[in-house]
Amino acid sequence: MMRANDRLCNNKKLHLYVTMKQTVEFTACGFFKLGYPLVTSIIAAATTYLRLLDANTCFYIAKLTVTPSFLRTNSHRIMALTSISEDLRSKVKSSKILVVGAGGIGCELLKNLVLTGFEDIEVLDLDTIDVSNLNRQFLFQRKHVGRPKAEVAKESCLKFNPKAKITAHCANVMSKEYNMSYFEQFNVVLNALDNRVARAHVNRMCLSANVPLIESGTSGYAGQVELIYKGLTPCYECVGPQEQKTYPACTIRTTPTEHIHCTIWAKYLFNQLFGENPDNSDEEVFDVRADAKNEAGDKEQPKKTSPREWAQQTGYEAELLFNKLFNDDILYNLSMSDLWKKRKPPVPLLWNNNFDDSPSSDSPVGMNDQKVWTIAECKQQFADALKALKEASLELGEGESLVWDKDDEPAMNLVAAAANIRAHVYGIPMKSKFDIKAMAGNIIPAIATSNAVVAGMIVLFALKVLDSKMEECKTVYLRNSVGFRGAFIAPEKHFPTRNPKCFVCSSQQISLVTDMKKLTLKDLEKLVLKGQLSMIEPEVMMDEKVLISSEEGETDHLANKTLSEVGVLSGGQLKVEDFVQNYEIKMIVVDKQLNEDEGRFFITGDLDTMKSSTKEIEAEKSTSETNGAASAPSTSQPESDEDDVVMCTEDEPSTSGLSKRKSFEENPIPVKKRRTEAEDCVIIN
Amino acid sequence: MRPLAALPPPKPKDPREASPLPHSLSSIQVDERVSLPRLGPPDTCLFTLGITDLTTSDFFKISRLQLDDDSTYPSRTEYNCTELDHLQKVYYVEVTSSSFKMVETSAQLTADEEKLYDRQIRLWGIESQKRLRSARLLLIGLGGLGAEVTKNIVLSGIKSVTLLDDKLSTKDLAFSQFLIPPEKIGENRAEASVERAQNLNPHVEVTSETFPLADLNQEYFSNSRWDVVVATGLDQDQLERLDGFCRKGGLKFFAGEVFGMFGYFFSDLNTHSFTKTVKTIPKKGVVKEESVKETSKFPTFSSAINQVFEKNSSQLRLLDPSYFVIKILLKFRAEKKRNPTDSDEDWDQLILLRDQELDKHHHPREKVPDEFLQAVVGAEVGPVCAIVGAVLSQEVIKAVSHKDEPHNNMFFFNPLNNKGTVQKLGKLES
Ligand SMILES: [Zn+2]
Repeated sequence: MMRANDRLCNNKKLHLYVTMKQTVEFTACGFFKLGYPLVTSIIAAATTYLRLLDANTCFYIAKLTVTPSFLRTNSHRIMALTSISEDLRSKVKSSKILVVGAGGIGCELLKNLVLTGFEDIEVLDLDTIDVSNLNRQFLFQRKHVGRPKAEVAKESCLKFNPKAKITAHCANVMSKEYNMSYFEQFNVVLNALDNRVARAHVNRMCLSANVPLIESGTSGYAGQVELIYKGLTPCYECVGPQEQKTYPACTIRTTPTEHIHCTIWAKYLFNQLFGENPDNSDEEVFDVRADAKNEAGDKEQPKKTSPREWAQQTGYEAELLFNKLFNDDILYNLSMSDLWKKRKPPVPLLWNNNFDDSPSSDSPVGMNDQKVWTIAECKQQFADALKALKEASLELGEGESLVWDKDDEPAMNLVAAAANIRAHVYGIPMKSKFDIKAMAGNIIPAIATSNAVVAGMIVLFALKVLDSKMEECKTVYLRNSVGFRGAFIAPEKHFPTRNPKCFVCSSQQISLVTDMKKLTLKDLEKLVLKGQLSMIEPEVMMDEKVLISSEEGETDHLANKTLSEVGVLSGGQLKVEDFVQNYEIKMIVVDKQLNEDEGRFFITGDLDTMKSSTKEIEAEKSTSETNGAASAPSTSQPESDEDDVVMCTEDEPSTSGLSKRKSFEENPIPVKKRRTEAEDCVIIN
Repeated sequence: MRPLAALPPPKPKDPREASPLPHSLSSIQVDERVSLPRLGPPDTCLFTLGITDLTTSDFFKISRLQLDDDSTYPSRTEYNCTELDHLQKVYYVEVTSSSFKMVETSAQLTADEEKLYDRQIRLWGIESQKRLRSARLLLIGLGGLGAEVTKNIVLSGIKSVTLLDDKLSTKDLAFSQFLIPPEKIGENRAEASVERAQNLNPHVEVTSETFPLADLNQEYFSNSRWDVVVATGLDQDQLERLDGFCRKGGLKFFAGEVFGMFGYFFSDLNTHSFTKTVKTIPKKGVVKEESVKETSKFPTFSSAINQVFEKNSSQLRLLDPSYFVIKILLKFRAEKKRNPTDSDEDWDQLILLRDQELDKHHHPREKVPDEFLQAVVGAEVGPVCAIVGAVLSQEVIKAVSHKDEPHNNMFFFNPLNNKGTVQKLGKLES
């Protein structure tokens, strides 16, 4: 049937049979379905009519009933896309597609869609174009740097097919206007995203709008394409809530042992000096103590001056700040002598100390940024960056602040210099700016070819979805290297089973384990509901009492109260809802004193298994740590630069099955090798 | 500018002598060990070459000089930089008409290039990027697959890409060939593609040629103008000949094709050495990464496409049926000088070729089901060009950067199950 050609047309019986089973949705017209009754009446009418004209008209009948002339494409006589059935081609033409993200995968995807004949496409991306995108996001050129991705992608794609109708939204897919009825208008949604929060959100929107979602990601040479459709496949969140890599606050503030700890500290420092005020007191890496002798027990004491004010008053003077950060504060840390019994104590550093100017590494380097700065160079960079950032911040209006961006030279230099000086103080080997940028900016290596394979596969999936062959869309992996029996682009053999405890598509309940006397409602909203559970506008009810409201201001008076203070009991139940996502769940709160390693809370679907599996993942992660800055200031927005997300690296040892979802996170974590068709065969070479 | 020691006396300029410049070069005796200072990072030294009044093509003819075992320059045809060890001794030498000078120009990437290529350098390293930047690609056949490969390779930051085609662009290319603007339908496909290809990356030199493909000869591939050749849209015997030319000329050779929803490519890197990273995972402790050097040998195209299988052999049993589909399609193309459409006539021909081919190998006909053949007719499907083109492009990048194990030697994309498989066909020449 897929080839509406003469050979098949000659088989009248087959033709009519197939035609009658077909369900063509006239989405372009939008009103009716071409179902069995309608088809039969069309056939009846057409047959009668044509019979009158010519006794020998089987051919025309068949042609007419398959594709009414008003739906038929003006295909070229020369060489049409005949490997795709005419019927499917007309569905392609009339379907409406949403592409979320116009980064590395998005650009390739849009090109493929337009070439394949899709004519009604909406694309969403809030990012603007950066030079480092141009090695793969080929719809953009140097002259477009700084412009919105969605808009330029649209312009470039229209050159491939001026007839296509492309609607570009320079917006966040998580904003309220893209509600359920917005998602409902699409035949299929294609994700080309770079972060798990947005992925989780689109997952929920598509589940509730009942629209098939094709999810994708790449990381370096590897890639993955997966269909998510209610009732057939697991959903994006079937492996449980996603852990963000976090480090204990005291490691960052007082006892760093790895360079990543210093890098995170330096980013927090940037935010305290120039950026937005942190939501979380853990991110406050220095304060201005009225009296340095105040011991840790006095934490609650209100601060007289904020670090920002202090720095402004002192004119961001490099020497002063340097001495405070790398001498005074270090001396203060040293005064907590218990800490240093088993650790190597830091060595304070003053601005006027003599620095050893010999290069810390004399290995040959390829690029300027790959050189490791000396301490003297760090000091210079620190001072220069402070000066530049001070000037930039002077131009800001009231209440505005700078946003850290890895591609902003002074911002990146400040973090690299400060992180290295701190590393030096703590006896940790310093790193190049190139390496620090990867950690601080959460950079995932990205190349054009992996994105192109994945984007090609997404469109093949979309064609199958439109052709109602969803069962042929088993997850496909692009592998790092050739596997058994030559498998390089490897499909799964089966759809994985859904997780019956999935807190999004199956279960109605999750548990929150936390110290109820410490977690405030503000923490609950920002860290738990928005941070970990990827909600947009959560509402929380306890019985009939509203604890957190999406109405602005309604529950502000409760924000700083702890769970205990508002009367939540251990084992008590909260009703959590997000109207934007059309999502609702019961949350059981369990009171428990957590140690610093466990963070401030954790979420479980099932108290026992979830916890042990997350521990295992943490252990696996120890080899790769680019994710350190997971709580970067911009995590709440898609960073389209890192469009290219991770998958599996097959040559790694496996972890528990639950870690699979990790494969879609921003960090390359070894995950369980998936079963592919090739593996049950013997290799013979 | 660093002057060389032991400079030859400047030659009197004679316009008649100007064009076959390699002469004058080979007459210059330079002992590399004595006269060429080692500049740049330890394993690669890159210099630009040019005689000030040289044309671009002359420039390329002499741009690669192998300063190896003996102190004279090998003739152009003997030139071979395929070996990693040799590659490390390849220099670009700047020659001026008055004196012989070396300039260290390309040893470092510019700040702009560092920014542009940041995300890929983080994956394959700065050395690969430098090697990529000194490599030159000849791309034959500007159909949908050709356009995808051009896009990926130009984006990657290779030195130059030459587009070669003698066909005119037609409307059916609109499904996959995004480099040709609609207003250039009817023009030569290579020429029509240059502008958009160049816009992808100003650092890469993109040019076009229209040499008749049927007349491609050894000479065309012997003048050290390219390091890699990717051929699409050719007949089987043309491909067999081309592979031979490339072997002789010391070029890496790839051939690929997309038919409808189906695609494949073939690689012949002859003897290819590369480094790859091996991970060892000790029971305790951190994963160790180690870089090792290896060498792969490749069979010729002719050997791969004409492979004879033993009846019921395990190789035959495990072979992706795509292999036979390629043979069928190349036979079809040889007979009809075009790709199959969805006409009855073409269909009957495909069925006939299928039956002949599989019977010949005593392989059941149903290994290539009708459904498969239905997926190969008509114009190239864009997304399939993207998939096959991307895997092929990455192999080109591997070949010129000598990093990571190459696919040896055929890749098939089977549209029935979304599977991309690498299989080794053919026998090594003894
Ligand atoms: Zn689920």
